[in-house]
Parts: sequence; structure tokens; C-alpha cells
Amino acid sequence: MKIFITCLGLILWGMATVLSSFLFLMNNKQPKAYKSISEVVIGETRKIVAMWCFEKADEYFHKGVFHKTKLAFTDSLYQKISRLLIPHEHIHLSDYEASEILPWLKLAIELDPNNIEFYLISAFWLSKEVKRNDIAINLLKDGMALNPYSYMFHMELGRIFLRSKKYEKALHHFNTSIIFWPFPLSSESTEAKYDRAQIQLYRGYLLEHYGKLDEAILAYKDRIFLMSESIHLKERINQLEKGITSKTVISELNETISNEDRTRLISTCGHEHHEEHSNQHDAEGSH
Amino acid sequence: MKFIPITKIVWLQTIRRKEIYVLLILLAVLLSLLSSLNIFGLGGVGRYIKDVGLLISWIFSGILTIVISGRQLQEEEQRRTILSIFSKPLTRWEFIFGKWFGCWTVACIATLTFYLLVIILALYKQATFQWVSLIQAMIAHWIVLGIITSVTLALSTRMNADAAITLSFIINITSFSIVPRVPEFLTKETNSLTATLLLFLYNALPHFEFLDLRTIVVHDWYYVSWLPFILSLVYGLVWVAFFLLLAWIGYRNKLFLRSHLF
Repeated sequence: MKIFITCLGLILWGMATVLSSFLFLMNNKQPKAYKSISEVVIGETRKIVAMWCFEKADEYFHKGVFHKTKLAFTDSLYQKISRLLIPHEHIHLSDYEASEILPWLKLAIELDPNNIEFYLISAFWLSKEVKRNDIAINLLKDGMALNPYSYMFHMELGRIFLRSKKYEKALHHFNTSIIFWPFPLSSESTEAKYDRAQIQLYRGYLLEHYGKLDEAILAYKDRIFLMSESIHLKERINQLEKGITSKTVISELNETISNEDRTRLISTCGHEHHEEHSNQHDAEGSH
Repeated sequence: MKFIPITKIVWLQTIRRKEIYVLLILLAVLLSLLSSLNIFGLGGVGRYIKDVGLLISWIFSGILTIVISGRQLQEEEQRRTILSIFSKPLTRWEFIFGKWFGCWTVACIATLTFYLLVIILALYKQATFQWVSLIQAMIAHWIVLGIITSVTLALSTRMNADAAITLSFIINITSFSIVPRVPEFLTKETNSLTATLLLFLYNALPHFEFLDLRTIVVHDWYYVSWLPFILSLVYGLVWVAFFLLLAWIGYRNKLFLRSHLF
């Protein structure tokens, strides 16, 4: 009987927390000044749980192997035995199996729908590994509805259309992204500047492909202003000013998006020594 | 095999009570809610069902084991049936072992039922299993339940049921969640007294992480090599034997006077 009451109590508390979160979302139009104490407390709890779900997705990405943490000692008998029993290889999920991280990202989004990063990462995995651009696009549109005027959603949509070689739509979204930039970040933020530089590079390539050379030149110049190491673009600008376009602009564009995807995969991992990594289909044998 | 009748009594008592059925229904409800989650319309995504299902199974089986084991001895003493039991040619060791075996087998069967439910729901969500890994994880889990049972039984030889159950929860939760992370905690700990206490716990308590093979089941790793696996089982059995020995020592000279019983 005691167990029954305890478990029932736990379930009712859980349901109350979930219900309050949904009620809070439904009544989200309240001005911030009028938030009650309970809304503030539960709101912060939601975000903490959402972040936990996000970290869980990272754990799943690494097949249950946690990132290495600093330990006071590593050579106790217990640790040596533990290494024989518990997997410790660093493996990433890839292809469709990467969809296993999505339930946790979905839960994170449900709990904290104003966290843009959750949408962007989910959309990246849906598009890049699970190969479901349609779901990724719908997800980003849902995110845009709750977080309007954020440039990041249009940037991600542009990337998705680039991967599926729909260049006109990609250009449209990159143009929109530049209009909304830098909201919700500050124009001085490093992340915002880097994103703008990337958007301008993509815009430059696409505008060049569509023959809009003047706009392409402006985009490349903005890129050079933001990232001074883009010196190779100066030569490109000179060529464009003479009316000479590159015949390999699309292949350069595709290579750029592939390189960026690779970088984002590694940055999702969040640590160094990536040469030690292998993907799911490379792993063989017992541990 | 004089302990068998004692074991049968434990089985009959547990079947009459409702704990197992309540926990099974709760597990089914929770997993059903979880499996109803629409993951962007994608199929073949079931790892989270395995993960959460196995975690809840561990929690429920731990609670069940501790509660069943903790009240065994006190109930016998309260009902004064302990006097009639020890009037039979049954040693204290056989009595303790019979109680342990009964509680442990009940916990194992309940855990098996929980696992079956998780497997069914996970397969429904098109999750995959490495079956050998699963069997290894289940056997290791049973050994953990054996340790939990013996710890609780040992505590209940000298405490009342509530105290034994509470202390058993503390010890087992510490073994499960704190002991494996002591090397990590020590890097942040500057107080030497706390550090000493953590090291004491690290060396004194059982290491359940050797027998917690959920990671290999959830994330479809290949099975553990057989030699380290068998050694981990032996490790668990040594702890079971140790706590059973403590239980026997705590009970063997205990006097039961009719006037002192409830």
C-alpha cells in the first residue's frame, strides 16, 4: 500500500509538472512583469529538464559513452575492471541511426520551445543524416512561429535547400536571413558575425551562379570585412568586376556546405581528438 | 533443502500482496505514455523506450526488493510465527537463506516481467536488441537484486522493518549513484574529511556499475567478453555471501522470548 501511494504520488507530481508547463505555454502571452512565482520556478525547472534532455541526446550520439571528465585517479582496480565491462570507444551514430537522438531533442523542444539551438540541431540531424528535409523544414517553421525574426532559422533553411540543390529557395532564405540579422543576438557577438560571414559567402556563390554579379561582389566584400582571412575572395572580386564568372561556382558551393557540415558534426561532439573517432558503421567486434 | 518451505512462504505472501501488480501496471502506463510520443513522424526510433524502460525497471525492482526483504523478519516476529518456526529442526542459517532465496526469486521473476514488458514495447517501436547483451544484462541485474536482498535482510536482523528499509535505500542508492563517481567528486573536493569519507565509501560499498549493463543493451553494443562478465558475477556473489553471513551472525544468537515479542 505504501509503495502504491508513493508511486502514485510521484506520478501525480510528474503529471502536475508537465501540465503546468503546457498551461504556461498556452498562456505565454502574459507580459513578463506579471509572471507569478510558481511560473518562474516551474519555468526554470522546465529549462533545466530541457537541457538535461539535450545532454541525453549528446549521450545517445556517442552510444552511451560519456565525455571524459577529470578524475582524481584512473588506475584503481575498480576502474580497470570497469573498462573491461563498460564500453568506452568513442563512436558517433551516423545515417538513419542518428535519429535515435531525436526523441530527446523533441522533448527538449517541447519543454523549452524558445531555445533556438534545439530546433537548429534537430533540423541539422534530420536533414544531414536522417535525410528527411521535409520534417526538418516543418520543424524550423514551427520554431519560427514561436521565435519570429530570428535569422538563424532562415540560415538553416538555406542550408537545407543547398543540400537538396534547390538553389533559388536557398538564396531566398539567405537573403531573408541577412534582413533579420543579427536578431536575437547582438551585432557584436562573435557567433552572429561568423554566421553573417557564412551567409554572405553562400549568397555570393548563389548570386554569382544566377549572374547577379554586383550583388555577389557586395556579399563577398562583406565576407572579407568580417573575416579578413578570406583573401582568396579578393581575386574572385577582381574577376567579377571584369565580368568573368567562375565555371566551378556550384561545385565550390557544394564543397563549402560539405565542409561546414563536417565542422558542425565535430562541434556537436564538443571535444578534441577527432582523429580517434569512428562512425557507427566502422565499428566492429566486442569491446 | 529445509529452506524450501520458508521460500514458499515468501512466495505465497508476495503473491497475496499487490506490490508487484501495482508496479507492473505503473510501468505499463509510463511506457505506454512514452511510446505514444511522436518523433517527427519517424519510425524505427525505439532506443529511448529501452533506456527509460530499463531505468524504471531498475528503480521498481530495487524498491520491490527492499520492501519485500525488509519486512520479512519483523512480520514473523510480530505474528510470533518465529517461535513455531524455530521449534522445528531448522537452523538459523537455513531460515535466513530461505528468506533470502524467496525474496530474491520473487524479485527476479518480477524483474523478468518488467523486462518482458519493456522488450515488447520496444519491439513495437521497432527497436533492436542484441539478445546476448540483453541476457547478460538481465543476469547481472539479478545478481544486483541478490546483493540488495542480502543487505536489507542483514539490516533487518537487528532493526525494525522501517529502519532497515530506509537504511537499505540509502546504502543501495549510494552504491548505485555516488560510488562510481567518487573519482570525479574527489577532483572538486577540498575538505579532507569529506574526501576521506568518499574514499571510504568507494572501498567499502559494492560497485553496482560492474553489474549495470544497461548501456550495452540500450545502445546495441556487442556483448561483454565472457571472462570479465563471469568475474563480475563472482564479485556480486561474494557480496551476497558477505551480507548473508552478516545476517546469520546478527540472527544466530538472537533470543525470542514470548514476552518480548509484539
